[in-house]
Amino acid sequence: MIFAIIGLAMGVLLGLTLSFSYSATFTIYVTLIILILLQSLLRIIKNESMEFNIYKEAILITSEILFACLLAFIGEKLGISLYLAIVLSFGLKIFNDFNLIVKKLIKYDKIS
Amino acid sequence: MTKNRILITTLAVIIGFLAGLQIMNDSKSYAFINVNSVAVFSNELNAINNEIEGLRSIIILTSRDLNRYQLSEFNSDYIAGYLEEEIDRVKAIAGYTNVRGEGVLIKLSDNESITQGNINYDLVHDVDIAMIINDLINSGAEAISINGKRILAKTEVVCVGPLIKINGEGVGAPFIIKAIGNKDLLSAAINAPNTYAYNLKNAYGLEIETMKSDFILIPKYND
Repeated sequence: MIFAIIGLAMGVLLGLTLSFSYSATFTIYVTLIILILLQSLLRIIKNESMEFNIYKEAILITSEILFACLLAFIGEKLGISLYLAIVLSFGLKIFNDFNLIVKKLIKYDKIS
Repeated sequence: MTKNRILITTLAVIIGFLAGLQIMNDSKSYAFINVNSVAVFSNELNAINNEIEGLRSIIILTSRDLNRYQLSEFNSDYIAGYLEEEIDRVKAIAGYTNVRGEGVLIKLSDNESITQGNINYDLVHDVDIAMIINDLINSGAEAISINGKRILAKTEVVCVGPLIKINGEGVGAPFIIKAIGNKDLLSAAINAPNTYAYNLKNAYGLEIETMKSDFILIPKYND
């Protein structure tokens, strides 16, 4: 948890200081990548007691990102907002994971 | 445990980095659009461009007029010619010149066959004439006369017993209306289904005859 917060702060500082700009067309893809990474982060925080394999995690996240970008690209070519499907599914997962983390933190299941 | 920490930290840094980039990137006015809205926007753009073209042509016309006025300031001969031209134009609009051109001739007469109904339904009234004149003007008539009486902007069409008063003089049936303009349009204003004249003819049984002509002369107004 603490590492996540420190990392986020560092990343935001880095992103704000680097004046690297890209075409407005890629905004949607960057948003999708942020969403997928956030979901992975929450998933790992949720199962912190488990031992994760870094390579397997990297492959999983990369494949997710590639597939999401592919879907968004096809949707844009066809004129359908397919990226909304990805936003919906990952948004739901993020909310579930967040809910579980908060429940774990406040020991929701224990009767006090 | 260290592996988890490494994973978490890298993910967090990447997320923060991307979020920071996204915030810094000037894409607040960007909206994700699809093909339909592109078409809608391009149509809108075309309409606005056309409007601009129209306004530009108005500017050109107006500046040409302005130039003519400015030229005539220096040349007194020119101003006389220009004013005479303008007088002719205004006279033509006001109805003080003879007009000739293509148009239609309309003959309106009372219903002479024997009917059982009210006699008022068989006569041509002032209202009928006024409505027909309005229909003709609406379909682009440039000059109209009724039995030789030129219709001006101030002309009245009033019922005076058995006659109709036009330009201060009584006119009796049958009425011959001459109108100059596009002959097909003018004839349609009289003969097309559900126009006022069509109803007069078919519901009330008045006799209305229309004749298209390529040469019609309408005399000027004389008081």
